Amino acid sequence: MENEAEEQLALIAETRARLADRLVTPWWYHLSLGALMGVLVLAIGLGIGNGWFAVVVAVVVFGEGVLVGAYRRTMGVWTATWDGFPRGTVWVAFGVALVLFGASAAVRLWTALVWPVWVIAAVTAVAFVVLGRWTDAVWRRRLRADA
Amino acid sequence: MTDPAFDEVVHAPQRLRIMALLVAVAGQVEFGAVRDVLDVADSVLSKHLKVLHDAGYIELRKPTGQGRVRTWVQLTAAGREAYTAHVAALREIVGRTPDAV
Repeated sequence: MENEAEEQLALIAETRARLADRLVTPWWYHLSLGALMGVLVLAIGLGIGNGWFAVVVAVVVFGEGVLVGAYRRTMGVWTATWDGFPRGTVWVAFGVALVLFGASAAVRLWTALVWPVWVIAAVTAVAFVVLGRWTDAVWRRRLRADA
Repeated sequence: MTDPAFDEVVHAPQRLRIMALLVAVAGQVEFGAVRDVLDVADSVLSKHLKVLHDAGYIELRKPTGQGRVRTWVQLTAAGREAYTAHVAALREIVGRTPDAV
């Protein structure tokens, strides 16, 4: 009985490890997400008060929906709740996004400069690629460790 | 904390692996992805999914209108509870702390 229970626990660990091996996000996902977030920063920094601002934001939101759909179809996995997901890294991503969006808005509202907005947009795009890969790595590590 | 309870439905190795996969993802997994992770034939997977579905442990969804119809598998609350209790029972047998996996 004890051996069988050990075997079952080992099966669970093996399954989680195999899932971790599979959860390698396609290269284009984080790149596209970073690009969309960069465009959002540009819209905030250059477009607040302009007529096209809402249009760009709508396009970004639509693009995110398309991206999520493509991820689901490609990976065959979607985390509907945060139960198994590394929440800490997601909160960090939210925090970084808020700071960068805020910085872009501040440049728009308090200066007439344009170049800082482009710099913030570039930083945002790179940050989302890095944070996305970090989140993936933490998730895979946790899947193996919690087994 | 869930009380340890051995579950005959979850006990079968392939069904245990399916449940472990669904608990780990905490969301939806497409039929093909489950098959690839478990490395089993479609017919074998279908048979085990039916048993889990009949027990009320999983939901099967086939969204239409998105090109090829795919089957998505998701754990139910009853399924999560049964799995957690079963794993706690396994841990109890081997003398480990019966925390959830």
